[in-house]
Amino acid sequence: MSRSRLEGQPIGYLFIAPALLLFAIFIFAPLFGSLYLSFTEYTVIRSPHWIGFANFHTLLFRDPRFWTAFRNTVYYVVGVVPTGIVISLVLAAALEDLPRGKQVFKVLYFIPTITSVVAIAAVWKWLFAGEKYGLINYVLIRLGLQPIDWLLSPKWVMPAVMIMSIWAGLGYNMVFFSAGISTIPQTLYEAATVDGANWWERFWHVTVPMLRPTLIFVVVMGIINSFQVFEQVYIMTGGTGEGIGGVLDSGLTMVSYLYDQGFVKFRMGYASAIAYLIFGFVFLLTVIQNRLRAR
Amino acid sequence: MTRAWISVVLCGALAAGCGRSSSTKSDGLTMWLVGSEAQARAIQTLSEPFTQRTGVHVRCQAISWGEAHSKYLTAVAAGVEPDIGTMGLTWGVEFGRLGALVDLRQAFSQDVQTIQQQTFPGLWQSIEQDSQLYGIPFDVSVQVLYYRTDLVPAPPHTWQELTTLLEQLQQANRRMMIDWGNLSWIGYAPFLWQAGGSFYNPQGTAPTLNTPEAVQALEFFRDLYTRYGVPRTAIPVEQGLRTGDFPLVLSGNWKIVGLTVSAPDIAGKWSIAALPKGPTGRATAFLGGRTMAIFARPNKHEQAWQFVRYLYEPAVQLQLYEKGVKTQDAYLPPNIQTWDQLPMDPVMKAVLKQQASEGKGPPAAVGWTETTNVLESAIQEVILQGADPTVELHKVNEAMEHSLKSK
Repeated sequence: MSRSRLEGQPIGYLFIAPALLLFAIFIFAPLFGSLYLSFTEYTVIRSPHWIGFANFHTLLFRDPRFWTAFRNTVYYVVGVVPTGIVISLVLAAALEDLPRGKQVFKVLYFIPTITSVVAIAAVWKWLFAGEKYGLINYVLIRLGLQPIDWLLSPKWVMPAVMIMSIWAGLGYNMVFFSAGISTIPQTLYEAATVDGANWWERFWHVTVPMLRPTLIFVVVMGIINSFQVFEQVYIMTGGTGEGIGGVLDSGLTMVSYLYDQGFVKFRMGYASAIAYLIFGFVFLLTVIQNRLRAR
Repeated sequence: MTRAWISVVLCGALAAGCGRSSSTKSDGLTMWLVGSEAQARAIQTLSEPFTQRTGVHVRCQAISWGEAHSKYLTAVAAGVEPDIGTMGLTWGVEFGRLGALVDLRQAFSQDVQTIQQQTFPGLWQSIEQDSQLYGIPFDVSVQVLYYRTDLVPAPPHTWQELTTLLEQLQQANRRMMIDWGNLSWIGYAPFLWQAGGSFYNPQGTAPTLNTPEAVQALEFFRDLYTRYGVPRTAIPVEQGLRTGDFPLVLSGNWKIVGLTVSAPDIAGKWSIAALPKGPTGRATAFLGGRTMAIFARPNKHEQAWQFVRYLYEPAVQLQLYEKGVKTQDAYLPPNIQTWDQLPMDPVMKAVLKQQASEGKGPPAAVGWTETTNVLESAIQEVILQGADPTVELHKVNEAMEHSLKSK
């Protein structure tokens, strides 16, 4: 855009000013504020006290809970992102071929996305109730399987949170895929059909390659969002004993650890350092993904 | 990450907003109630006679348990505290040490003396430390043993009777459930006290979880899960009692109203009993509750104290309880005088009173709240992963010592 064109439209700045102002106050200022705090010891009551890289040093080398949280988060991302994407992609493709009721199903699948995660997690907490008292276990028993101590056994806390998150995230991804699919020229499908391709072959050889840009976007967003998983952990592991994270920290993720340190223990400096480490990880992952995409 | 920081700013803005509305209204008192909206409204209604009597207006706002602790802390940091706040039992010591609360022992010593005599001693130990008192009891909750009268011939009176009963029940595929304190230090606490142990020495200067009593209690608590089938999972109390699969349940007194409302089909088939006595012959239960504290900065200490005293009057507590029954906020009054008029089944009332009188709350020692998660994971390591109780408790004891000294 040339300089003269910008000068010709000063009114444009006025239009974006409110948004910019809000962005500056509520995003940029806290962003840099927390960067500063990550180098301090700050308990809210007393003013911040500069301690250099001590928070980061402790986190990376002396805090086993942080690494537990890191492992759990990676486990969550690996468990949720691919599964969620595969299911929602297949669903989106299947919905496109429905002769009628397409919109109804789209709405149904999208409802969890616009429902508060807190409400969803609270309901799923009941579904995950122990022994035969939870609906999920009831079904398992009916199928002749053993009931699972979902939310109070170190092995199953994370899978329980993952199952819920995959379910709750289906609609969001599906909308992107549906939009992507509707841009694929119908002629490609017709040509494939003429060549004798069945539904799965058309899905695999037409839909998936044509959706590459959408897929990359959904994967990147999925990883960024999953890395910051919080509400479901907070609701599903909270209230059972001491604080957040579930039995033996089996459900502790990085943002929930941040919350625990910052808003329960009020170590704001330490929590800010965690925030910047999360930022670092997400940034690194995104850079790697961009490299892969460029190839 | 950005989300977290947006919430920081929002929290601050909220706290500031609330505070400003209260501080500009210099003619009245503001009270924050940690709990339900319904109970805040009940207090608002109950404040009317107080306003007529004294001319002081009261505004009571509910804040939820989840955000209460951070809301108080940010309010203190921003200098926009309410005049009165209800809080968890151990918060008073914490906020008091920050200088945010009025030391009531010092400011109103005469009244405090009277109040102390009217309430349960175990509760008092949790809120007073080194002759500093940052709040008086607002309500009390207590652990009791629920049992199905048609399935359990008699509630167990001792640990021995409990295990014998559990063995008998197991043969009929019935078990016990621990609800309030499941896999947690709150569930371990009564057994610790019943075994003659404690978290700290009486002066609160040294932790005492490296004692044989503490180990014995943890072994007993573990065996309830590993040997006697207490579920290591969460099951709704109402369901367990209704089906009869769990004819014994260790839970809090609030389930009395809960069961009456949501399990009418077993009405008359269940009752409550005191916890079984441990080796010491005591049936100590865990006590929870809220306190009412006065914030130092707003400087309306005298008026605030009058209202706090008013809420402690038996007649007012009785009304609060009666309103609470309808909204499932029926927490027990801390003033023993109120109990005579409490509309409740006399048998249950006797059990609750006995348990509250013998019960103990969380320790008021320095560094306690910072180490509960260490204790909690030790208990879970022992029960879920088969770790050695002695080794784990020694580790916890060291952590508690460290936390005590670093303050």
